[in-house]
Amino acid sequence: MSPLLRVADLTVSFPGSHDDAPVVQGVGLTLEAGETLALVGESGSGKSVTALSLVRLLPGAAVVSPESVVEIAGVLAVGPGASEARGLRGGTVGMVFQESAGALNPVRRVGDQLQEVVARHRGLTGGECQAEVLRLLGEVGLPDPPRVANSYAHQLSGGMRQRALIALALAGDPSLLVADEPTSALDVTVQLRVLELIRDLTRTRRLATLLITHDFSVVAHASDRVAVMYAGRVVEEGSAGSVMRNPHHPYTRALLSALPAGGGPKEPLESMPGRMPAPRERRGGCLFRGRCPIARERCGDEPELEPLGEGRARVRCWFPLDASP
Amino acid sequence: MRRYLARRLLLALPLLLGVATLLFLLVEAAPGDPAEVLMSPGMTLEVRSQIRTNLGLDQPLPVRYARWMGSLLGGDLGFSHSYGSPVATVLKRALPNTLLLAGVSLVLAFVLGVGIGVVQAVRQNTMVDSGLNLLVLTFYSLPSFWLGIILILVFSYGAQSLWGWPLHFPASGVTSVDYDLMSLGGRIVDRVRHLVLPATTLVLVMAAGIARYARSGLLEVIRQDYVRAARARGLGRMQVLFRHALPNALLPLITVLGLYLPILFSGAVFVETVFAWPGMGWLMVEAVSSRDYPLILAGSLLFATLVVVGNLLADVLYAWADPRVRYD
Amino acid sequence: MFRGHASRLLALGGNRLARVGLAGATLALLLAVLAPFLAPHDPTQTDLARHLLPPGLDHLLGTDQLGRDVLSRILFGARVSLTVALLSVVLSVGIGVTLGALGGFFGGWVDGVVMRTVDLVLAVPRLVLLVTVIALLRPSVTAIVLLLALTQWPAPARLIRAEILSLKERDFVEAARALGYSRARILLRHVVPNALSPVLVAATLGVSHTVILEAGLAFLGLGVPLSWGTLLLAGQANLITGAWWLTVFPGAAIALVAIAFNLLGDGLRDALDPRQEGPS
Repeated sequence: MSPLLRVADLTVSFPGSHDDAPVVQGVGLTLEAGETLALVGESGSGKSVTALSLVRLLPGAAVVSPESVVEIAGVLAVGPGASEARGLRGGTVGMVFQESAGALNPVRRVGDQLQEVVARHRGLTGGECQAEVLRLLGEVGLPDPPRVANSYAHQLSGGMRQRALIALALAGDPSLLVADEPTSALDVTVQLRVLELIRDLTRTRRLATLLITHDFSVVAHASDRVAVMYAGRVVEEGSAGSVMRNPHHPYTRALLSALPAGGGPKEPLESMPGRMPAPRERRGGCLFRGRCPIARERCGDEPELEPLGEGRARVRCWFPLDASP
Repeated sequence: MRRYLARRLLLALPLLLGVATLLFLLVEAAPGDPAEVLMSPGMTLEVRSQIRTNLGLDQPLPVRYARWMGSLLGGDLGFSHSYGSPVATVLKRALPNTLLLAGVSLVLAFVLGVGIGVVQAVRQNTMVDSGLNLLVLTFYSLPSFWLGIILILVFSYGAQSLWGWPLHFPASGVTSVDYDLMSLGGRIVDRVRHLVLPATTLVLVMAAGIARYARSGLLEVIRQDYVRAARARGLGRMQVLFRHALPNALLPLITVLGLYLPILFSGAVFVETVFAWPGMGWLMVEAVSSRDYPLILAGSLLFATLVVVGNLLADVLYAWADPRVRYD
Repeated sequence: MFRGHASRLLALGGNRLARVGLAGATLALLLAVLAPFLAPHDPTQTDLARHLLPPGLDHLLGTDQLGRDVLSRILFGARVSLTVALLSVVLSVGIGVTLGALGGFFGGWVDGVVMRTVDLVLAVPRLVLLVTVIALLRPSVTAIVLLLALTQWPAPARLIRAEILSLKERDFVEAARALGYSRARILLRHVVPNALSPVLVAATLGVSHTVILEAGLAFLGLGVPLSWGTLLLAGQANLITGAWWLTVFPGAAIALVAIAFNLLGDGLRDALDPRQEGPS
């Protein structure tokens, strides 16, 4: 059976603003139902652009190159002859945005915003629609659904708002859930409970969940597999446990070593020299070599993302760490 | 929210007292004698000083101020010599005309302005947007009195005598001379016909300003995360625009409307003068040219009151429309 | 900071409409300065034999009821209208920036006094106040300039106060304070220059607004001779004779100057306000 989400050769650029240099280049991912894949990287790594391009929500200036392919639940979402993206948005694909950014409309009741989506994607009306709204609010663990439905965003706590946003993503009965930094603005304890919710929903609803984050402690708590992005490319990909225990790419190792023992969000990589090259500065070779402690002459050529062995992590590095099985 | 409104109301009263004092001092400081207009060259010095005593002008400034403020607070606005009747009566006749013209124009300008702003925001950076931009900027830059005269030239004089258009409108007044002889339907048509040109002038000029605010406000809102989130839920373009973006963009426009009141009344002064529309603005110009001091003072104060009350109403409306304030 | 502004100002070159505005404004100023050399006739020379002539070869824009050349009157009128507008805007910006900066920077009772005065001036519709006072004082260029400035300063005062309140908390001001600079020095050297760009935009748009307002006052009979508004007033009186050129041309002059300064102001705003730039 084909995977629920298949991304191949995804390349995105913003002509004009970055000399046409791609901000995402040749990204490939697969994701099965019931599985969570975490896409990890610093800001500027291209992880959010990757997520937005799945349902073609990129700003108008963005150009997705023609060889890019995204297939969701057997439907071609991006690529030659792709279908209308609006059918996927909110229906097959539920998007959860960051709560702190104000993804809830401040002047409309939570219940109204939910009803709109239930009506649009499920065709329910009147009492049925109302009941479904309350059921969804209960499903995401919100106490007293009628009161929440009748509230405005500013009347809810941060954790409750994030749960309401998850309910909104579920309202169209999706198969793929894309969560973009769903917990970054929350307290650590609230963060854990929201991640638990996402994990439970993935299991009970058999969702394929793509979790976008900059924070490895989120990966540890909620994902089965992880793909690390750097400068628009996937540099390492494997099961969450093995990548975190035994990172092979020098960048992944640096990210993990920047993680404080207690977990929780932290400005990553403050110990590493230099910074990620901007799109226009990305010229050939391994893009990490300017900051890499083990870079050698060969790193002037670009390495491929290759598996270290049968069933093992894939790494984009000429000199992977701890490569022996 | 109640406490906020109560505080605003409490601030409005001293503000109006301040305005009244400022106006009183301005008239006092002005060169010339308020009694002069009542005197004729042939009068003896005795008669002159009698007139001054009658007007209380022989008293020192603080006494005159206290007397004036006392009668103002008691509801006595004084006597208009140019109309030969109490100021309150004169103002009462003029106020409805201004409220009608300004009210109709404000509503229509708001609808037209927001409509243009929405079209521009939806078609941002297209030919439609830049074309409307130039049009809006042109009307924003036109003096209202000149636009009024041009409209009279084209739709009143020109339409009637030069081109013989069936559709022409009266250039002055609120009603025709034979208004009293008309049937009810005829009276309504007559009033509307008189309102068309002055209201059009005000609407065009104000709608241009409102469209500028509406366009930039909507563009600001469209960039917000909840609009992107609404699109991510698969809602249609129009649904996102009208149910998610527009309500948020309209909220700050309520405050803009409050700020627009002085501009509206300034516009009304010109438009009423051009179209001989017997409202407050026209009355003020008349009062100034006949140096009718009690009328000037009371009229300015009434305008100031309208502005302060209008701003207060805008605040109430905003607080009622924005749930973030309503439930605080 | 200022180097950043300069490069943004140069970006004006990329905005076609803004360049049209700049050209129009410059042209208007040039015509006003050069009016004595450009005007085909003496603007005050009456010739009753040639009164109310429609536009023609000898009088390109016609003559008025006393036979004076309309084109020459508009050219000389530009001197009056633009002088009044520019002087009063400069003066109002001076008053507004000073008071707004003092209020915003020192806060407390200073701010209280400034802001209550602002409320007071804004409560009376500006035109009503101007009409009342100018009528009492009798119009002269000095009186009109002063009064326009005295009723205009709240706008720049509010702008600069808001900018200063937000700048006050920023790092470089804190740093200057930590270095032990006096408050006055910090205000003059660090805060005010950074808060000036919205004031520049408002002042440019204000010129357009003031040209219209001054013409309006003159139209109500409260202007000085040769002001464009005074020409319009005479035009309206002769409208029934069919002499449309007395109304159309002076009004068009006002509108064109207002459009030019508005285009320039909008262009400056786009160039100076980074928020207006497209998505990154």
